[in-house]
Amino acid sequence: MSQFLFSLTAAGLALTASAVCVSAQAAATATAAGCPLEPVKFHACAVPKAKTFNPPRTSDGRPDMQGYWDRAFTSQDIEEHTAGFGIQAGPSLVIDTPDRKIPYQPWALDIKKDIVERFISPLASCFPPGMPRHVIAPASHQIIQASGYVVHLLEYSHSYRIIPTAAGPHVPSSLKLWQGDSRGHWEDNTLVVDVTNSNGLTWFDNAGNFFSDALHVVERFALVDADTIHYEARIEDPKVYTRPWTMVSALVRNKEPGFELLEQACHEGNRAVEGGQSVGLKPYPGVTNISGGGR
Amino acid sequence: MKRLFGIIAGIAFLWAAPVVAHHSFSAEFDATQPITLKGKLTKMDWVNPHGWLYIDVAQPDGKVVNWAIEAGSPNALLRRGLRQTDFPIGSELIIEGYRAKDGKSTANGTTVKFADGRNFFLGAASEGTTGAPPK
Repeated sequence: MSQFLFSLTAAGLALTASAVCVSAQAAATATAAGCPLEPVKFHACAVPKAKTFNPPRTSDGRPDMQGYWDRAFTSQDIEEHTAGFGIQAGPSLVIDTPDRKIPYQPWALDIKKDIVERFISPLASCFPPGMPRHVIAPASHQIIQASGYVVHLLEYSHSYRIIPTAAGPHVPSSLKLWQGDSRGHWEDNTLVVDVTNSNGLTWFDNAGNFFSDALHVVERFALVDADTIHYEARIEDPKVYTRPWTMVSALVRNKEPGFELLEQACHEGNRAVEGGQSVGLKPYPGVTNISGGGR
Repeated sequence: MKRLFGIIAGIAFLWAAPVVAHHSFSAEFDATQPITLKGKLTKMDWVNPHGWLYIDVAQPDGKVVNWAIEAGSPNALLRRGLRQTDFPIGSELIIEGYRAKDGKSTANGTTVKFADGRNFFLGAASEGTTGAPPK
């Protein structure tokens, strides 16, 4: 038995619980730009600071957000959650609903309850993450700015989006895209990005929080100091939610010397789909195409 | 007791490091079935989105079973100091992880210990970023 051990110990679980508390405590006390990272507190602290901060500028006079960025919290679950298997405890990113939960319509909440037991996470299939998960996905980001454009790269699966910041209409509503259609403009020092045309086939996180192809996201990026961005995403989807809602996260500059985005050919050896299918999970068809949806 | 300490240390290390993968662990792997596997490496797939280790593990009855263990992405392993050359075929490894729900000889790896004593976090920690809230 010494070479083949199956181990489950009460002591191990007890220590696990203890370590989780330390981790959660560290997260609770962490700060960026002098603001606590807990999203409601961060929002209250960072918004006034961003209004008075004079950011570094690009050659065309826009706030210079270029560089590598990491999100403050993982995107395993954007609602408050305790630590679990492969998941760190984390606060809700939702800042403006009474219970800080996503305001699903009753039929949608019913689907949410067991969605991860029915469907393979779209990200596990190496699909593009969509907005706003592109911003809070499990990988480093790079922002590059050119006159009239902001380019937002994500290491995961070579995901990217190019945001035109000159005036221009969205693509026709009949065109549905994994990453949606992002159109930006500057309001003083804030980059405002309007996202439509989602195909509704991605999730916010690995907990299965979802939207439909009626998703409309308005994102706001503002430097709070040279190394911190206040990121806000206003979410509307009348097919799925009872009201619009807002999520907030700090983005913190990755200053690791020599850091760069690396190749990440996601499909190369992806066995997550196979693993999901082995336990009966199916490809996610979008919430409006789920058999029994609206039940 | 030494073995127990190793198991506990492995679990603590797992929780000390931020764990984020591109898929949900709980959908495929069983948190109630931690496993320690000791055996010889037969293959290492240094592939995206997760690397895979294959080791021959001798069961008590003498039968040898080849286990497949999911690791972090090559980029995450690379940034953690591991290289593909750290995994020559035939290496003696001790791997901590969690069994797959489908009952096959598959696990999600959390730590790998080499014969020379080196011990690495094997999981999908944040896929290349610290993932931890900044101090």
